[in-house]
Amino acid sequence: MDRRVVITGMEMITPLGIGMRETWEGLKAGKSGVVRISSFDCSSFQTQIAGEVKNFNFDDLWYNTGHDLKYLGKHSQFALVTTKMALENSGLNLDTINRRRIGVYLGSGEGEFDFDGFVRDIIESWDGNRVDINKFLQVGVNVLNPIREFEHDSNRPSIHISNTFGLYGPNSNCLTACAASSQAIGEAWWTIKRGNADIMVTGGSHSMIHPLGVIGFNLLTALSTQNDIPEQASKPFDMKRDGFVLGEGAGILILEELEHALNRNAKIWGEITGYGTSADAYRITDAHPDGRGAIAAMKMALDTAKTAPEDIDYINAHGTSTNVNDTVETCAIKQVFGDYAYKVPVSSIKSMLGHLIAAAGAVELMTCLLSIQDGIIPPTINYNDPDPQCDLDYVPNKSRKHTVNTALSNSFGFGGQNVALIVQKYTDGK
Amino acid sequence: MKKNNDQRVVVTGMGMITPIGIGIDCFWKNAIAGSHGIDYIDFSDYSGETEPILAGIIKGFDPKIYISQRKSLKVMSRDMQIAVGAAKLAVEDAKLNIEAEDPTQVGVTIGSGMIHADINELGASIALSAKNGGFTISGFGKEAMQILFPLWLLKQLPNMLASHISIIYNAQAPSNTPTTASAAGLQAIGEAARIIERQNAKVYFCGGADCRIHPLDILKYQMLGLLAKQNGDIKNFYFPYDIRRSGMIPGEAAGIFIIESLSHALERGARIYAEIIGYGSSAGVEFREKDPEKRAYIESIAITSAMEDAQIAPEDIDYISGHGCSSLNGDLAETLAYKKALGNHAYKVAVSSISSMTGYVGAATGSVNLASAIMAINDSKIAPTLFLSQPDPKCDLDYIPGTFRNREVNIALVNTFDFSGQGAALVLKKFQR
Repeated sequence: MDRRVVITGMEMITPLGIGMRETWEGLKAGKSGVVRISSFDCSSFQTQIAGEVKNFNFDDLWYNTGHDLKYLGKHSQFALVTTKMALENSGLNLDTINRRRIGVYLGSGEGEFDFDGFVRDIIESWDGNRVDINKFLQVGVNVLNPIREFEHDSNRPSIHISNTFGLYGPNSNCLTACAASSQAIGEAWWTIKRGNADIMVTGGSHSMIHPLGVIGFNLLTALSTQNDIPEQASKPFDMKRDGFVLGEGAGILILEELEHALNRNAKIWGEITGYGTSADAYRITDAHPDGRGAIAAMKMALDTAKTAPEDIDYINAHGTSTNVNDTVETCAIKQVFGDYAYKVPVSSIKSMLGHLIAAAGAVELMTCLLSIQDGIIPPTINYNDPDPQCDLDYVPNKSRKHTVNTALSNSFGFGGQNVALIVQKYTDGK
Repeated sequence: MKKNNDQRVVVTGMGMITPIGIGIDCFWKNAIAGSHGIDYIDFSDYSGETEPILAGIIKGFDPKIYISQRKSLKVMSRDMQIAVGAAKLAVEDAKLNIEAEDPTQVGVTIGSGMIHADINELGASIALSAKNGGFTISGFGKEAMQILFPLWLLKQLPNMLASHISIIYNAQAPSNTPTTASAAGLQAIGEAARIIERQNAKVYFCGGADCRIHPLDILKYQMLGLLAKQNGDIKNFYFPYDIRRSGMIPGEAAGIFIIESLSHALERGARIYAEIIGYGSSAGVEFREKDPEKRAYIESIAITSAMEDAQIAPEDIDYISGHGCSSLNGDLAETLAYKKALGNHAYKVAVSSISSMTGYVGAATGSVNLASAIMAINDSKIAPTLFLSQPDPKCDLDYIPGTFRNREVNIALVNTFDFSGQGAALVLKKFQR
C-alpha cells in the first residue's frame, strides 16, 4: 500500500494540564502530576495517590451543542474536549470534507460506575447473605439513572465524537487494557492506508481513579503504595519501584492521508510508518518472562516501517514502574536492538503522569512527535537507584537535547496485549 | 483491490453457544425449525421472588466440559466461559490441528460487551462495610480488600475473552477487542479478515460473546424503555418488523469462527464454508434519535462501504441476515437503510432476523447473524423471522415471516446496527476457486 499517513492534529488532557502545551512544558521540566487522591475518601485504601486531572470543568471547556450531556462519563467528557482541541489544532474545515471519509477509532476505557447509586441499591436489597433480586430491581428503578448507566459504556466517547462532529466514516472502539489507544491508532492508520478513509480521529480516554479501580488494582498488587511523597511514587526502572500509579486523561490524534494533508497545506507533526502488535499468549496477569510478545510487536513495527533498529533515535517506553514490566521491557528492547539498546535513549513519562491506562499510548505517541519537533527528550523522573536488571539509558531525571527523527512507542496491557508504533519526522519523497 | 490467495479470507469453522443450541448443527436445526431459545432468566443465585422475565437463554452449558483447569474457571465471568467454549467448538468444527500451526500466525479478536461484577460478590463487601453505622467509602476500602479475591478485576476486563483464548491455543498473532455493543462481534470478524489480508497472520479466532441478562442490564434496558412489554407467552409480545412490536428482549450467546487465508485453508485441505469479501462500519446518531431517516442514513453508509469493498452491486445480494430486534425505531430505520443502500433490489432480496429466536445478544449478534448467513449459503435454506405475522406496513420488505424458505444463496450481507449508535456490515460469498 503506498498511501502514507501523517498526523495533522493532536491534543491531550493529562494530570499535568488541560492541553498539550501545558503538559509538554511540565514533561520537559520533569514535573510530576501525581497527588493525593481528592475525588474520594481514600484514607483506608492501600494506595492513596494518583495522577488526577486538575481544574477540568466540562461546562467551561465545551460548547453547547444541543445534546443533553449532563450524564456523560469522565471518559466522554475528556474525549469530547480533547477532540475539539485536536480538530482546532488540525485546522480542518469539516464543512468542506466528505464526512463519510472521516472515521473514528478510539481505544477508550469505560466511564466511572455509578457507585453511590449501586451502593444504595445493594444496601436496601441485601438480605444478610445475598441480594434479594426482587428488591434490587425495584429499588434500582428509583436510585439508578438509566442514562448514567448507559453512558458508562466504553464505546460512548467514539459515538459522541462521531455524532457531535458529524464524522460518518468507519467507527470503532477497542479495549485492550493498557494497550488500547495504541492499538486504536494502529488500526486507524491501517484504515487510511487501506483506502477506507482519508482522515481518522483516534486515540483514547480513560479514568480508573475511582474506588473500584483502586481496589481492583490493589487486589492485583499492581499499584505503588508509596503514599508519603506522591510525586516520587512512580519510579520506572528504579530499584525501589513498587507498582504503577494510576493516572487519567485523554489523547486524540488526527491522522490524515498525506496527499489530503498536502492539498490543504496542513501542518504535519510527523508520519506514522510502523505498527506492530502481538499477543503474549502466556498468562492473564503477567507478561511473558522473556518479553516474547513485546519483542514480536517491536519487530513487526520495525518491519512495517522498513526501519533498521539503529535508525530509532528515541524509545518512549511503556515503563509502568512495576517490577515485572520494567525488567521484561528492558530485556525485550535488548533482544530487538542488540548493542544499540545501550545507546538509544529510553524514557517513561509515566514517571510524571502516572498510567493513563487505555489512554496512555496516545499521549505517549504524541510525546514522541513533540520530541521530534523540539529535539528534546522528556526524562524518567524519580530515577535514583539503578536496578542492575534495568541497565539502559533511561534519560534520568532531566530532559535532554537530542535530535529525534524517528521514535518508537511501546504499550503493553494485562492479558498479554502488545503494541509498538513508529513515528518519523515528515520528509517528502522518502 | 485484487487479492491473491494469501490475502483472500475464508471461514472454515464455527463454534456456537446460543439460546437456540450449542454447536452449529443444533443451532441451524433450530433456526430452520423456527424453534426459539426464549426462556425465563434464572435468578436462583439471588434470593426472593421476582416477576418472571423472559430472555434468550443458553441451556445445557456446562463450562467444565470446555475448561479443564478449575483455577481458570474461577477467574472467568460467564461471558468468558462461553467464549472459550465456543472457541473450542470452532477449532473442532474446523478440524484445525492447532498444535501444528505456527503460533505467531494465529490470532484472536473477540468482540465483547461491558462485563458487570457479580452483584453478590461485590454486594457482600458493600453490605458488610455498612454494618456498623452506615456505609462509608473508607469502610468499603477495608472490607473489599478482605472479601474480593486477588484477580477480581480481571473477571471484568473485556479483553480477557480474547486473552483466555490466546493462552489456551498459544495464539500469538495480533489480538484485539472491539467493544462497540452489538456491532462488536461483526467488527471483530471484519477486522480479523483485514489482518489476514495484510498478512500479519494466517488463521484467526474471531467473533463475539456477551451476556446481557445481568440484573443491571435488565434495569438499564427497562429504564431506557427498550424492553418489550412482557405479557405472558413470548408469542404475545416479541415481534421483529411486526406492527405490534414494543421493544427487544435481552439474551446471551457466543459465536466464534475460525477464518484463514485461502492458501492456508487449501494447503490443509479444509472444508470452506464461505469467503469474506467485504466489510464496512459507521456511526453518527444519538441513541435517542427519533428520526428513522437519520439513523437509516448512517446505517446505509456501513452497508454501502461493505458493498464497495466487496466490489459488488446491490443486485448481487441474495440474502440479508439482518439485525431485527423488535425495536420500534430500530426495525424501521433498518428497513429504510436497506432501501437507501440497495434501491429497488431491497424489495427482491430475502431478509431475516435470527435475533427473533435468540433475543438481543449484544456483542454476539454479529456471530449469530453470520452463522445464519453461512448456513444459508451452504444449505440453500433461509432461516425465518420468527413471531412476525402482522408486518408493519413501513417494514415492507420480504422478511421471511414464520417459516424457513428454500433458496440458493450465492452472496449474503450480514448486518448489526446497535441502538447505541455503531453499526457494521459484512459481505460473504459462496466459495469458488
